[in-house]
Amino acid sequence: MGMAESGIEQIGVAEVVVGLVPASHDAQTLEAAISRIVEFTPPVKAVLIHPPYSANGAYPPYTGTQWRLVANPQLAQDPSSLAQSLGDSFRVIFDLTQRLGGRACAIIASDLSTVTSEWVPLLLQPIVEEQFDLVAPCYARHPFEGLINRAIVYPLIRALYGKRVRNPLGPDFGISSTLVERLATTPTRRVHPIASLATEAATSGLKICQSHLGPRIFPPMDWTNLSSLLAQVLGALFLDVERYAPHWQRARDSQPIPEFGHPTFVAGPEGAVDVTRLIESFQLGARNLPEVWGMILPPSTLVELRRLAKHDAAGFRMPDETWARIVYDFALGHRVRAINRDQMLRAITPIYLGWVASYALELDNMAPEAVEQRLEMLCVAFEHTKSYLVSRWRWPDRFNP
Amino acid sequence: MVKRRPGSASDPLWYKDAIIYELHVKAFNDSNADGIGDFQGLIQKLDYLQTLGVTCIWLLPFFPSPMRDDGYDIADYMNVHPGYGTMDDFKAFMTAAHERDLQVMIELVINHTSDQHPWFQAARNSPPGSPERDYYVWSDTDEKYKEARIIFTDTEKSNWTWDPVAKAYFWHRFFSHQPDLNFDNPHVLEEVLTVMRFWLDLGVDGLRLDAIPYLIERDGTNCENLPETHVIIKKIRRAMDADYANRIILAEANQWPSDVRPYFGDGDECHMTFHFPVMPRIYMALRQEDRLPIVDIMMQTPPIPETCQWGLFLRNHDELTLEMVTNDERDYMYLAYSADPRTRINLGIRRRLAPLVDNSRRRIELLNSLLFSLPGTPIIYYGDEIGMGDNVYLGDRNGVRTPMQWNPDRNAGFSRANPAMLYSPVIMDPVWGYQAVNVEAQQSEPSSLLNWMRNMIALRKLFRVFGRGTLDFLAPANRKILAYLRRLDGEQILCVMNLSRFAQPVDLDLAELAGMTPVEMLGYVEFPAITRDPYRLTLGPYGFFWLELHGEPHAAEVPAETVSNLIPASDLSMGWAGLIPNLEATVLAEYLPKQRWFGAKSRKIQNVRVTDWAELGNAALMFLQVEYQSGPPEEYFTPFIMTDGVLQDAVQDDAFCIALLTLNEFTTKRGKITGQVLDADPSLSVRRGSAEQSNSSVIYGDRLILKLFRKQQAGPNPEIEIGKYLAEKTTFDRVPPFAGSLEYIRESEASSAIAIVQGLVPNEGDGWKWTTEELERFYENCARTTFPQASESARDHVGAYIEAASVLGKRTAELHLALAAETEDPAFTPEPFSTGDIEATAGQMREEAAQALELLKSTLSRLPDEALEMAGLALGRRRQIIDRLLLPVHNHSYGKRIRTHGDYHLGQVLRARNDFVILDFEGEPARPLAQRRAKYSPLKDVAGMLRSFSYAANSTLMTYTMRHPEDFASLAPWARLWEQTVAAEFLSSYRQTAEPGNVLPESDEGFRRLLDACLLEKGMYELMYELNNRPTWVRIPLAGILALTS
Repeated sequence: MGMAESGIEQIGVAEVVVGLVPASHDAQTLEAAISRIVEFTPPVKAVLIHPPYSANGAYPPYTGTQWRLVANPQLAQDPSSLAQSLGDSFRVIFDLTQRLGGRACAIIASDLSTVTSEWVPLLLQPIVEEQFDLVAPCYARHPFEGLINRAIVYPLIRALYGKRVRNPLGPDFGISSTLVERLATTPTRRVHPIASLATEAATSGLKICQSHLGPRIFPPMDWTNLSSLLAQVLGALFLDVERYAPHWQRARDSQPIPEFGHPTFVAGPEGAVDVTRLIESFQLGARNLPEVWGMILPPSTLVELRRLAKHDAAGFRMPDETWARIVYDFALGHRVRAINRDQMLRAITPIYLGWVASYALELDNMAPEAVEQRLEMLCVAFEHTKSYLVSRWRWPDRFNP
Repeated sequence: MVKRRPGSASDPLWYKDAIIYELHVKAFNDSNADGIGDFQGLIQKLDYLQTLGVTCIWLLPFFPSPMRDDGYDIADYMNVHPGYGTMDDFKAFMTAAHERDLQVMIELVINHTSDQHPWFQAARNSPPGSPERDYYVWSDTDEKYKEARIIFTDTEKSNWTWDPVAKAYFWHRFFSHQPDLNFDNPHVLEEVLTVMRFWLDLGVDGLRLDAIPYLIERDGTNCENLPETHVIIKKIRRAMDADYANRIILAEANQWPSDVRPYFGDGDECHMTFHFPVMPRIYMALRQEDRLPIVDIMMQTPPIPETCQWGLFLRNHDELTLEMVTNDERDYMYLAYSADPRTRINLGIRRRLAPLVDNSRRRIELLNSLLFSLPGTPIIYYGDEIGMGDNVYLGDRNGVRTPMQWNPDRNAGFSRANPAMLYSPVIMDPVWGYQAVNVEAQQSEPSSLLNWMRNMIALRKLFRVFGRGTLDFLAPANRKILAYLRRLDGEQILCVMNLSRFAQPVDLDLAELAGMTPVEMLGYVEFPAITRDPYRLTLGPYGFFWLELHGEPHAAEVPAETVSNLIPASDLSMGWAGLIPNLEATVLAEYLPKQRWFGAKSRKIQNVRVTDWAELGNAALMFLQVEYQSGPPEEYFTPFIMTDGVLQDAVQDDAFCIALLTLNEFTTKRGKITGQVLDADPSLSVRRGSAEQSNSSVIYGDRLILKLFRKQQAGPNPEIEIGKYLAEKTTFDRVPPFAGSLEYIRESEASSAIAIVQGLVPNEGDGWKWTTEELERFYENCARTTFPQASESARDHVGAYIEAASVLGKRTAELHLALAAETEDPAFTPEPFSTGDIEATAGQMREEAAQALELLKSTLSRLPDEALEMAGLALGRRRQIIDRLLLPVHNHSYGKRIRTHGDYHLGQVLRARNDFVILDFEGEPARPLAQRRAKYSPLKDVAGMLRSFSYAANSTLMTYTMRHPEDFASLAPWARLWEQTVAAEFLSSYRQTAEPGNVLPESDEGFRRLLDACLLEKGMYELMYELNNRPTWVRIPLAGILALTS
């Protein structure tokens, strides 16, 4: 029997479970995070599950508090297969939550150095006290952080499922036992424990809210590996788009969801952003990938991209509707398997970089509040363009405008 | 508790949303180049099926078999035919299918085995009475069970075959090499359950029970659908449910829907059964360009338990079976779909879908749109998704079981074997051959049938309402259009289909959905919002719309006339009692003339008084006495509710309608309301009828209709009186079932009727609407046809309506016989036509005729040109008209006077399941009660119906030739022909049925004179009506009057 097993058996039952899935094997950061987390005194019995990294080989038992600590070696993030490893870790925490009879669990997968003692109550209290089923995170971040979420994930999820969940992919969540059970009973081949959390909750009519957790340290963007990252993220998202098609085709408009905590804004880096390389990457894609794009995008969009590729930074703007339709066309291409799925998903990378360039040029020295408004405009464009996706989804005929 | 072994599907009702794909392993894909398809080959094609979007694979028999009936002659139930692979191959297939979320259904052929099965070999070699022998049905004679029909009429002469080894006859419902198992032997059932468990343990999700109506034999029966058969099926189901979860049984029972219904049991027999009869009727409707065959069979389809489902298909591995159609319908289908006699087999047509519809892509699409949108689970036969053809030169039904056409390579890509080795030749002709029709080509062609099917399947899967929702047919005037609503949990889909080869317009009555917006589902295109006006659509040849209805319907919009002025807020606080003075003073006098049911709109109201009232929930029931400036007062019944200070008719309020239905005895201030409604279920949904003039009607679910009598007249209401009398004292049942009534009794006064409740009769529309639709088709067909000379050929042209007229004549006579039966009830006792009665009747007729002719004379100058000549002629025949109304008294008997319908015409009958139901015995509501309850010659009703035929023929001719004015001259003789032929048929059938009752005049002369007089009286009444209201229609009664007096 491993350490985790014996720990669980000794504990018996717990009302809430907190799982830590750190990005690195940094024992000191982990210990520091644990000590900050346990500063919060939960009103009920709580179990903190963490990887067994330790500077001195032991953790204080926190006797006299409601906390019980359990080390579990299965919690880890592997950068080479991030979605897979995070998914596995989430499943471990779900399983333990069920075995302990927990009403809720919180999972923290962000860089642990930013975790404060407020994160756990912000992720768990809405569930324990107000019967929410999913608490998604909101972070304070500057306009160039979390761009895949801003450009694709948030607008797409919001438009399709009608819930304004700012960070549908977390990675930090509070989850009720109801939602845990739903995910646990769904065959693993059909559902990704992270990508499907928000969609499963939204389509099942479960209660969703979001908590402002403050700043989060984002892993540095590995531009060389962007295609893989996009393929991983979009692959999981698009599988859900296919799976939940009967639901999202009925959802109309979008509604805000309740929020906890206080929003804060972070200003972006000062000075103009150099978008030259981004635009060059887009132009390179336009030269090298017209056949692949041609299998996914309709002629009118291809013409727009071709026209855009002729611009330099001065006139480089990708309209929101164009970008929304491109994302929708890729979702459809993924469904109808127009070409190999991985190859197809990677082919969006140059267009995404083009969008980033256009976004950066627009945002030049914009105030944080104005950035929010800009993002809202993009989301509205996704919502307005949704009928385009519905019609193409229902009749995916290549003979279209 | 033992945990039940789950199937691959997580939803226990998965089969309701499934798309089933039927295939034969041997025909699908050959992996080892031996010329026969196999499980490894099938595994290679699972991705194709997944991409197509089907969710369940139904495998035809794949067990060891001598293959004399395409595998339905099983020699070993628990193994795989070596030609198709091994058990390991089957297990690998199951795993691969389930990984792709594909459920698997296999055959459980339990009615019979092959004669090569070890059970049969043991049975024939064992002595009579031994356990082995008892596995089959034996007899020393072939005379038992004589009433059982032979199913394979082309090959079998008897259901018994002599076995020289056993020296006895064995029983077989199918081929003589397929002996029937003996389910009276409990060991046989045990064996079957062992087989079932074997396959369910391997993960099979569904079992198709083959030929189950024939499991049990009993002398003196047709050996089909016997109660003992259901006992066996229940045992099989119980055994399945005990150990397994989410598995299903699909029954093959080629029977009428009402006979199939018992196979669902109470949800404890089969999960699914095929809906066999709808399939040929879909083809019939398509060829006839008439929705009736489909609507008719769906109306005959009984409701089934919540957990059950129909299986629908366009084609399958057998012939297009015509067992469940009438002889006429079968003849029609043979003529329409099997011009080549080689395509006929048994009682059916052995063709695939595409050849049946002459390879018309539009027809294939239309039929599939029906398959995917009618209630049930669609089943696609392999190859039909690419429009595969068949080979009529192959024997039995092998022509529709040829290898799947995958690509244009050798053997259609089905096999790499030498073509001579194939189990069946591939289709090779220029139209249907694999070079022209194959999967690969269609996959690469975006507009191919295959891609269309894939899109349609995906679309259907987005909407659970197709598999689980309710069905409500609409009844647009254009019968080439089939329209229905599917509903589930607030989701509503409108399906509209054009069965014609030409574009068709249609006006749909969608008033109850006003406010919603249809969105065309294929392209997600928003259509104009629905209003209370008819919703107009135009559909191209064989076109269809699936329209998703978005938004919410407007809250039951209250017709403007039901709302009065605002009641001052100060008055509202005093309750209904406090409101009455205000209502009497001003509100009611304004309110009443705006009501559709108020009969005295032309009279000036002097005073309205509330003579009695009571509160019922939120409503107030009021009895109003209305006094006019001249003439006698009238009394009306008016229930009210108050909404936000607005006085409103309570009939618009669902809660009031339910309260009214469930009312038993109820006291008012000065009297009481009594009565009772049978089967008054308060959970029924409520909607309101719209066609009533003098009353209001409320419809409860699909069960009951309540007619609220507004004008109160003391004394028995004829509709209640006759309804009760027919229900309680006679066997005549072609009327809506009487379900109850409500009457109002005030102190010591005579009672008056408030409401009658009757059962709702499923129907295809009232007789008038149905007839005019038939006439439209008649004129359309005749417009370019030379007018016939011989009377027999004239009958041929009138077609099916002749039979309808005959049925209507018969029903009319049966009604009169029922009303004329000897009884002690004086209200119904038949009375002879005395001399005085005859003279009085004739005198009144002459008086009315004279009035009508005077009116005609005075309005001559205002008549349309085309009626002038006829009017002049009629006026010139005044003497003849009056003479016709002189009924000779001496030496003439005119039969009896009885209670009659009183207002009989085509609008008073419903067309229901090839028959008629007679409605509305209220008589002319404007006439006094005594007149409506009086006894008359039944020929008054007969004359009413004959005149109605005339009106239908001529008014339809008028509307038809408005669109085609050039056809008037050629169609006018056709109209007369139709009228004469139909009237003669009606009359002949009527007299033939009524004669024995001695109700009618004894002599032909007396019959003719009285009928002519009644016809003339009716014609004169119509003349006055048209002169006063519709001068452009005056030609119709004038033509009738002239014909009678010529």
